[in-house]
Amino acid sequence: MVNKIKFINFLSYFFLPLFFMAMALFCLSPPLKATSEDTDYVGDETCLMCHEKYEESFSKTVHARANIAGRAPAVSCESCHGPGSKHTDSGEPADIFNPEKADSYEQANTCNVCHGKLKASFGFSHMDAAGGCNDCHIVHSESDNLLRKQGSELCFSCHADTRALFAMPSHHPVLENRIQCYDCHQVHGGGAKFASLNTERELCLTCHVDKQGPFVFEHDPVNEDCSICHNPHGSVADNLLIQAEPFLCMSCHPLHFHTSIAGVVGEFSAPMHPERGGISTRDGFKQAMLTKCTQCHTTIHGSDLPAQSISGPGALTR
Amino acid sequence: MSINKLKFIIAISISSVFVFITTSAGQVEAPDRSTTFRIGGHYTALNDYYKKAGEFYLGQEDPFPEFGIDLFSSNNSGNLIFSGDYFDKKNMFGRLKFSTSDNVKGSVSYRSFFRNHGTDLLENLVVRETTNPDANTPGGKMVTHEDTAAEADYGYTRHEIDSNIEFKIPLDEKHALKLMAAHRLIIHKGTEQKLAIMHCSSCHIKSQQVDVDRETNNISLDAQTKFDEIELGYGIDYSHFDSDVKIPEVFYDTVQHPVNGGALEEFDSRTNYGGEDVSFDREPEIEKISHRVNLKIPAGKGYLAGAFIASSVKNKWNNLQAKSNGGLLKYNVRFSSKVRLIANLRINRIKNDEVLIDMPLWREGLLGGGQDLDYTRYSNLTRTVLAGDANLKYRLNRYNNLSLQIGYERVQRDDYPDYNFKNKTSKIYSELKFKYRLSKSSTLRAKYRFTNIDNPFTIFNQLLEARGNGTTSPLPDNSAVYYFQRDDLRYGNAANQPALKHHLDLSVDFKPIKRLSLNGGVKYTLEQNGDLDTFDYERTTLTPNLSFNLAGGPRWSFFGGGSLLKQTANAPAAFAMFDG
Repeated sequence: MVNKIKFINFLSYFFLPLFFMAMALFCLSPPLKATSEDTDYVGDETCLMCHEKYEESFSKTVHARANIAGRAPAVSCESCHGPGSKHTDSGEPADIFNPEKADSYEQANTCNVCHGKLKASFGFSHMDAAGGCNDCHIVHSESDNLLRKQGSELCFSCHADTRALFAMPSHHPVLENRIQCYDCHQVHGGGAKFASLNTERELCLTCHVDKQGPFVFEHDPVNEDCSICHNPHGSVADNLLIQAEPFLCMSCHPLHFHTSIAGVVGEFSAPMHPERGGISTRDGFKQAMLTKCTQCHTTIHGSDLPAQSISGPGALTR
Repeated sequence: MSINKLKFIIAISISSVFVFITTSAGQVEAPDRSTTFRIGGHYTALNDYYKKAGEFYLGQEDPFPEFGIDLFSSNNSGNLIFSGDYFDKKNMFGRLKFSTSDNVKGSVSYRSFFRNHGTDLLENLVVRETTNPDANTPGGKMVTHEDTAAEADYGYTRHEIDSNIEFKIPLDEKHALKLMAAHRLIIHKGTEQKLAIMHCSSCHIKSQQVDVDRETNNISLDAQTKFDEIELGYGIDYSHFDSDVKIPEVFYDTVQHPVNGGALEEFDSRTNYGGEDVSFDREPEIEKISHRVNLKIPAGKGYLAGAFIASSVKNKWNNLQAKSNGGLLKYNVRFSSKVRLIANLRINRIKNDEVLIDMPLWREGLLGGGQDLDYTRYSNLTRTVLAGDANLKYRLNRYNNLSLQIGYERVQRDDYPDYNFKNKTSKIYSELKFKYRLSKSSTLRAKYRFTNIDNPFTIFNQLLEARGNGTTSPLPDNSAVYYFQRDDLRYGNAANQPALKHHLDLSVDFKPIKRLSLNGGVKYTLEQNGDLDTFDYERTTLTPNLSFNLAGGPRWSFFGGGSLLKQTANAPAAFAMFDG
């Protein structure tokens, strides 16, 4: 409780001044320039007289094909850049709208004229953090989905720290190009495919269906949130665990009571099973009980089968 | 599913696409085509025990070639894009995308990779108790292990076929009905190491090699339409999982005293099974179905979007079912060119079936025995979730923007940790985020998020044990108690979930020249829980990173970066002392 009060104080001292500082910065920033309206459309032929390099490359893009045979809204240079007569007359770059130099909101407004579906996700975090549609897409490009880079490499251009996590010993095979960031993340916002997203774990369960249950014997954190135990990007511990066993298990559970037993020193065999045995040490029980809990609690995500003991059927050992 | 069946599905899918394209595309003009070949390779040098480090094979000790091809074909009737990579027969990728007109488009993709599961050598599982360490006297408790497939290499190949198609059916000049269908098939095929423990003769862990043949099917059908500014949609998702292998079995030892083989009646009265083959680690058949309805309408200067989702998931082996009903509401309004508000509200109810666990009486017919250990398994999945947030975005100019978010989430669990306990977790969070242009070539991004959680998820009464032996013993004139009685004496709560969380994220982009960008940043997270009755939990995560991106031309770029992750966490090491 004392800690809580301490941190609420911390919040007051840190968060609110930061907020007001940020507001002050914004108020001191120059206002948005008004766009000129005294200009008219000139047509693609006029544009391509100077910008001839786009004639071939743009013709291969999905935007160019949308312009053929009167299908869809016709896409021309001025569909995105706006009317170009003033720019044609003056030759000044400033006299025409250039989405690449616009901010994320202006870009989105331009793209959403046709891609209205993305309007629904307007305001998602990428819109604020990134420079807008152009940060990921090149409108004049021939590439698939007009992307600057293909696959997850595009995401890693900004999310370098996440790229590093995928280099951890246990990871989803993203760097190996076997799955992609967009298999889990919707970069334009919205829910993931095949996931109803009624709980935090739904996204993981779209692929890991075998962990879904419902099981007769449950492990409560599995129902709660997969990220209690797993880091989906990568981890130094096996199976994407946020900590190695047994330390992760010990975050909630006590050590097994057999841990404190002293072991005999030397070779042994089990009296009732002479074929079983080995070399025992004084700390043998610590090694056995303090290394990996899932060697015995094998069905840690849940099971329909009771354990051997009548008193603890839900021990998740079967 | 056999691999031949898989190949058949791929062949049929790809052939169907080609047939569809060639029959529906009117050849008006010669197609525009381009082809790109890619050749490369990977090599990974590994030392010592590599089976886990090489979780996904990529040139492990041997050079690993890679071949790729990209095909692009387009004319005025549509386009066809194929992209493929071949590494070896267990690792490949191919995707075909097509559109025959503005009204039909779709794709089929196949990918596979091999996941090396690693082998647990079980070498730590060998010990026998000593009842007198000074005299090195052997006791009865022991741990042993046995590996019936010591030389096995475990792993499986994951195959995935993903197909989707979209039709746009014109209703009139302005309106259309969009129909979408998607199917995803995931197959795991290989072998896994399965462990079974028997612990009532000697504590013995037995390892077996077990086949893996899992199949997951996801099917999704959607219909969407738009009338002026009103959008309406319905979707249904179906998911099915099953394993097509024989359920593994293991012979459980006859329960008996581990040293003299006696006390058969005593051991038998404490166990569910023994001296027989018993199945274990069964993966049940699971079926899930979800219905989605969504509606979007204009509201003032913004729009209001709502969705209702109802789903049910069933374990078909025992007919256990979890049902969920939820609604989402989103209001997105633009007050001016500079200010926008996005507000979300989510309500969700999940009900998981309860199960009566019917157990034999404990030590039936024996002195101090006869306890009825039947119980009802309630589930912490049964819950009502209420969540809402408001995000105010302020944009002063094209370079600088700021957003402030506040949110609240309440999770009320009906029956956790026991019936009608009504455990409630409440979370309040706020986030300040801004992007600020420091100069023409540099931009600062900053984010601070504060989360306060009241009663975070905790596994109750796991640590520490109250005194009580003298009063709870079932045996007359005896202080001995059973383990399940000692479990009831535990009182300490522990968790790795924070009650307070601070997250700070700072980054600076610097673009000294047009084609070079540098990025540096740091993330810091502090999580604390001082509300536990056992210890104060704390976890800190610090991640500084630095990267650069040199875009040399339209067809090549060079990227490099480094990131450091430092995480520290504390937790108690609570020993339950054996026999007190």
